[in-house]
Amino acid sequence: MTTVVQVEDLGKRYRRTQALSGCAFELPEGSVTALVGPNGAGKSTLLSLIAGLALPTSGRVRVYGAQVLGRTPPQVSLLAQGRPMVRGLTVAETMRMGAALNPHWSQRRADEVLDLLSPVDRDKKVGELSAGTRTQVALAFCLGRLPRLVLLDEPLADLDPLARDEALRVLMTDVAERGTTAIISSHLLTDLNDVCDHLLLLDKGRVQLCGEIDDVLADHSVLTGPADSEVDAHVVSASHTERQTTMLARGPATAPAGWLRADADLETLVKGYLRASRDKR
Amino acid sequence: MIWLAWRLQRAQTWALLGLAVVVVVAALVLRGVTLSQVDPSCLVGNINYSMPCTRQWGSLGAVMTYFQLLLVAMPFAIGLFCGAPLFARELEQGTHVLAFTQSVSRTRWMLVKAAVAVVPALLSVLAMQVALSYWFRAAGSLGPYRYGPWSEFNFPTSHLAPAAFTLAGLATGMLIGAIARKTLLAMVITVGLFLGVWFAALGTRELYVSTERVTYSAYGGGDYPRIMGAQPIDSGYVNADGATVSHLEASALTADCSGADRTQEDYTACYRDNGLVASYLDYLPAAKAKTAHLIEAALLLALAAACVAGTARTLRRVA
Repeated sequence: MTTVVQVEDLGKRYRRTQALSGCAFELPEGSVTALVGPNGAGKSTLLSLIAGLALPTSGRVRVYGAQVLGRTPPQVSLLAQGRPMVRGLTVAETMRMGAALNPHWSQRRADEVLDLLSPVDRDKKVGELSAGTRTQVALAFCLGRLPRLVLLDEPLADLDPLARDEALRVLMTDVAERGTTAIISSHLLTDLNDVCDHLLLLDKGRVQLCGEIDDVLADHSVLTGPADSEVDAHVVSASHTERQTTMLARGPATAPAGWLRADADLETLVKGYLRASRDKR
Repeated sequence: MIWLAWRLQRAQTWALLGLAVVVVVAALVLRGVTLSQVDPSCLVGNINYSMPCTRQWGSLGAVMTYFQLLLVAMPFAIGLFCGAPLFARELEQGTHVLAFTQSVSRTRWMLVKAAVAVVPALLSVLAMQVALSYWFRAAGSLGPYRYGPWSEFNFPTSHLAPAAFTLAGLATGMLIGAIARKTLLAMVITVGLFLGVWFAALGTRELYVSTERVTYSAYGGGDYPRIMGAQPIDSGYVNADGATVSHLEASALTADCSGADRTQEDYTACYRDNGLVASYLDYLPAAKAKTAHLIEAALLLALAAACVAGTARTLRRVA
């Protein structure tokens, strides 16, 4: 399978802050990756580096084998955090902007996205649109570029459940129809669970987990047992009540007597890593 | 892409072009008023301060000065309202990410935006300059051009100066905006910095060309030379050896020359007896103003080019 994104020993420093260091992973074509991590983990920085918006301090990013050097590769489209758009432009003018800045712009594709849910009024100014509709317009702008890799930074933030569902439907239609690869950064795990097949977990600028979600989940388990007892396992994090201890364990773990073992789901897994990260601080 | 750049800055551009139209129309109307209100004999030959002429002239001189000031201020306004927000607003609102993640390079995007800002700015300033010059020339010897090409308002409003200052103002604002990333802050810094450039130009343009010297009788009196359009730079006395003597030194030497019943010949003889054989005046002739304009314009264009290169470099590093 073709590797779309190849990240090698990637690091990024902003003055005194080391945003990313030693990141390395690969993502295959057609994958939909959930990029998760606590606030400040480096998710937006990573997406900026893949998009060529920022330059790495060390290491390199390759997209379809070509190194990304301070310019967005033609196959990549980024929906930045906060969905920045020119509020004074109408929807039609925003699409015309996409056409002006991209020689391979597909107005048909942009129109398909704009009409996919409730059709968007092309004459309305972007600043007058609801958050959900603005996301739809941002996705149309993003996908009108006909990208083979879409980077979405918190695309679902500020959206109500219905709008979140609709935004994901727009995206997944593109993935299904065009085989687009996507990396979605979000805190909304339940939404990501339904659409993502890969997981990339960042913490303190480092990759903690990367792989197919099924494989990652298979490598973890949730152990529940009496408080004040120990198990022989690589414990990622643990939470305690007066009577009971619940642990997220990595690697092969067999439940000792008196303990229950359950498969980890995505939400439990990510929360376990986030908790471990918080406890270390 | 030109459409997009135009669309994003059309408000400033329309305001600029609108102002230019107003100034051009006003200049044409006021030219007509000048010619109909003032007798033609007042506008030719030497400056005519006769009562009928000054009465007819009225406040036209002050109105001309206001319009000259407006033209002097245009590069500042362009740097402030067109240059500084050109990239600062995008960077402040985060919309630069839209442009920077598309197929066109950042440098190309910057050049197109700058070009779309520069063309109407230059056209507006040039239209205003031509219209005001047409009016001022009609005002003849009563108009502002009687002060010569070196005067502090005539120099920056004639020849290449308005265009060169406009380019420098716009480019300076652009660079400051890209660095500051805050529109208001960029506007304030641009005005401050460009004031510095303006005063530096004002203080150095006399150095671009060499002065010429005229000598006349040691005790000047009515002999003071009047050279059309010249800018006096320095004056003093010349002694028998040909060395210059300052006014301060000369007043010490000629302290005894004063007297109630002395004629000009007596004064001249007394000055000569004290070693002062002639007075001198160093001046910049009107004809050399053109050379100074070319040198100043070249320096301002170099500043503009450096600012454009600096903006490109700054934008390449923006994440």
